[in-house]
Amino acid sequence: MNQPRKRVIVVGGGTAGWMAASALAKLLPHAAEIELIESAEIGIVGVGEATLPHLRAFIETLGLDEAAFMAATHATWKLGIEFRDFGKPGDRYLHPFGDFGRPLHDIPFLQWWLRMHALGRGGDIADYSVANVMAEQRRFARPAKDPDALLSTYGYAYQFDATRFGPFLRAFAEGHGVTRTEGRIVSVERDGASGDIAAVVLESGERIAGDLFVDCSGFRSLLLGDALGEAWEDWSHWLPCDRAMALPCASSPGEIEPLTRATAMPAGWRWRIPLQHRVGNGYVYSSAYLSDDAASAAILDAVEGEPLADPRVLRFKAGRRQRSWSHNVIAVGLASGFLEPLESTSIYLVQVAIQQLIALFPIGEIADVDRDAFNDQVDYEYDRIRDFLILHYHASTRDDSEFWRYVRHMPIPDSLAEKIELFRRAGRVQRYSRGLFFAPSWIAVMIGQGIVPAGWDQRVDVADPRALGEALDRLRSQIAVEVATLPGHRAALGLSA
Amino acid sequence: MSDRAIRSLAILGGGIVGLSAAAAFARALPLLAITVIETPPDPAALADRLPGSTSTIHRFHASIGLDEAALLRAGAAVPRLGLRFEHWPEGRDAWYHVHGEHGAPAGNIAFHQLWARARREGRADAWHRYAVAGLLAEAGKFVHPQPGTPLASFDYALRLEPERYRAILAALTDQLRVTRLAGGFDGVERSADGGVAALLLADGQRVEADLYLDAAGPAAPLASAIAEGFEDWSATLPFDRLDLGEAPASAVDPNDTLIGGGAGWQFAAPLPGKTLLGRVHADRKEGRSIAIRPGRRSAPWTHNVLALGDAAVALDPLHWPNLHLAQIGIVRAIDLLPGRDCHPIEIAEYNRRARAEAEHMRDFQALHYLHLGLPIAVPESLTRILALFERRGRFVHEDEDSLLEEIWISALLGLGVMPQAIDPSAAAVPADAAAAGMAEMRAGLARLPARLPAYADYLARQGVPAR
Repeated sequence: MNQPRKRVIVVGGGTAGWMAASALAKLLPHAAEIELIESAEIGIVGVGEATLPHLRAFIETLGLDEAAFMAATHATWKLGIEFRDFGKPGDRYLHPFGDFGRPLHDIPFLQWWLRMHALGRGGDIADYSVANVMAEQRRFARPAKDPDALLSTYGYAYQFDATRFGPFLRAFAEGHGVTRTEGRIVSVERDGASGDIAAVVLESGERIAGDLFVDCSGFRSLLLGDALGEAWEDWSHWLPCDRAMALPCASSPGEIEPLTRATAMPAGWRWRIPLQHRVGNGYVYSSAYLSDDAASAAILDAVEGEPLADPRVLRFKAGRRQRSWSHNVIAVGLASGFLEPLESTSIYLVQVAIQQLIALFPIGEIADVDRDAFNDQVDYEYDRIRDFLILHYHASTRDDSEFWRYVRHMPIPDSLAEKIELFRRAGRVQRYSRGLFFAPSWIAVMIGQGIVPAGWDQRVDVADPRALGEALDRLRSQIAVEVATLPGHRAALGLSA
Repeated sequence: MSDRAIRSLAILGGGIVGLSAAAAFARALPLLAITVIETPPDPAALADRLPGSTSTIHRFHASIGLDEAALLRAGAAVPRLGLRFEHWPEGRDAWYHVHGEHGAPAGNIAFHQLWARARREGRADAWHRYAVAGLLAEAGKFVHPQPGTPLASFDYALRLEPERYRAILAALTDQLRVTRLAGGFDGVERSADGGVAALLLADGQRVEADLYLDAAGPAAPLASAIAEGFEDWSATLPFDRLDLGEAPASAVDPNDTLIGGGAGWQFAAPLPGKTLLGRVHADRKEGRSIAIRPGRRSAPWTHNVLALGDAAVALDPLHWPNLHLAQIGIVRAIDLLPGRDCHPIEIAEYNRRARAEAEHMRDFQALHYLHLGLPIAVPESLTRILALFERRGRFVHEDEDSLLEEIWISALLGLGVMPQAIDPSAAAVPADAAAAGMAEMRAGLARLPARLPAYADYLARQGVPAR
């Protein structure tokens, strides 16, 4: 049963590369011998300062110390993403990490709320989200362990300096036997018969051979895209943003918001991600509607603190490679595809690919069945996240710019149109057995952007409106009371107020 | 919703499926006016006729307020731990398919990965012997699961005595103010939008409702009057005849026994006072057999007519899918209940879920026939499941599969689908240590049955009548 270890060459040393190398080294020490090639000359994109709660599982699986990780990356806590001006100018809602209320008699909380909402009562659904109330008050504590506690009904993620995450993981990976080679890849050798990648050749002339190549080369997609020519599936007609203008600025005084903010802009949207030591900002826009110079001026104008660098432009395209695993190349992260960071999914998609690679790591020769299973899982995730992102643009009444008029009216995938119509009828959400996104996410964005179901589950009709109204009031005030006992975000981080 | 809520429901068919639907709708929607039309039972309505259920029945019973202890005392149900498969495949030792945990994972590593390696090395016992339910099943013992003890992590199903069970459901629906009337189906009056405006009964009665359920068995007299599409699965599911018989009560056994064979299979299901026997085959010469047409209605919900049970999906009784799918269909209909307009978008969502779920069940049955060596058309979805599991013991649970992962894995391993290799992540667990841990676990589990009551004694203590 014991086979020789596979030589795994990780190409690229950004977040994706070091995450892949660390996880493989930790979880498959007997199966993989890992070498990572990175070049100091090539910068890393370092988007993905905002993450999803799934990253916690990654940190835990590797056995990393959360406090050390947070200190090294100047991380803050994150309870969700706040969207401003998306549905229409002036709108504001949080897509929280966590539930809205709790099911009653096996019927989703949303249904009870819809009934009261139709009577003009029940208030804002956001008031029933613990994560939302915490974020509003800029408080933070880890969720309670008791599943019956209200304070167990949320999750959390991190906002961190992505340029420091790779180096942090590098120390871990090297400690677990990963070798690191500095150098720029100038050519790729393929096996004549199989078409597999046999080796990569560095500028120094060094030839590095391997059994498996993990392409973490970012947008360049050096192996999967360039060398293997894997076809690109373009989604820019649905997600037309193709640039980001990034600009870090100084933190504002006062409490740190435990949330990432996305604010709609005339040709896209801009992010604001508060870290311990600075605030990350960026304008994600479509170059068809805005010049780089204008984007640069807009982001300089928008940031709240003193700029800490010059605005820097990143170029990308929405879509994915038809297969993320082809021959002996597995693309992880941007080398496999790109979805704009509107829902902080970049690092999540890196994790998905790594997790699937570990689950389907070749036994002997690479088998089609493993490759196909890997690609199926990656597609499953990409397609669903894509629909969810498109929703943010489609569910809008903005008509104040050409960009918004386009995205509002563009044809959307049937799979999304069905989800919207189903929700619009009576608040039903399709169930996924895995992956992103579950019901609370759809509820947050749909209602947050003005799609309020016209009807509701008929079962809630029997409830006496007065009693139901009182029950909802009690729940809201209980959430408010319990959240008020939690520390502020800075205090929770151990920083001075 | 109030202005467009469904106010009335007419159910065609007064068997277990029709009455289960009546009880569930009445509990969920107390203001609904419900009429059950008790048409003469269709002998081919397997969900109404057969005793089998799965472990999902408990949740359904809880939702309609049916107390299991009362069912047991009335002799309307007895617990079933497992299915004992013999000669399935031919030449294989008998194995048990049971509900609940098998072994314990090592961190992120699934137990079956470690088991498969140890099994290949001759260091592991049969799969079911790592499950509490499997040990009780084999030893002929039973207790209800006991939270907080080693007896917590298993589940069981019920074997129903169909006539008594139906009578209890009927009494429950009476309490819930459901109207039951005897009658024969004589056609429908259509409405302008293509739906049903009224049911016409043989005695001239006319029954109007906002929503109609067809629970009248595989002929689906009502649903087929509205829409015809049927997906035929006979190329994949080879048997289309069922013979039923009875034998005197034999040794009381917590399991049903299924005996495989290329020309068909047989089952024995012990009930209070008798044993129900069945033979599932494809022999057209036997004129008295019940005919099964494996397949499903393409759109079980069309306009204001919803087909449930055998009217929606017709399968042979392998793994007792008939009532299981009927109950899940009822729950799904209540969860997705549209307004009176039966808006196409909500109906489409019901049909989408129903299709996926029925196809998973078809694949699950087909897996068993494949391992009887029968030349079936293997659906591509099953080919994928098998390829991945055979290669490395990996199983991916898909959306809308009502069968838990453990149910699939127990069947795969029981049927002898052995992963060819251990997953590299599982290989990190040293083989000797894993085997030692498994031996220890096995020894601990093996001590359990001795101190537990025999199945028959336990039933007697619960007040289950002998006949």
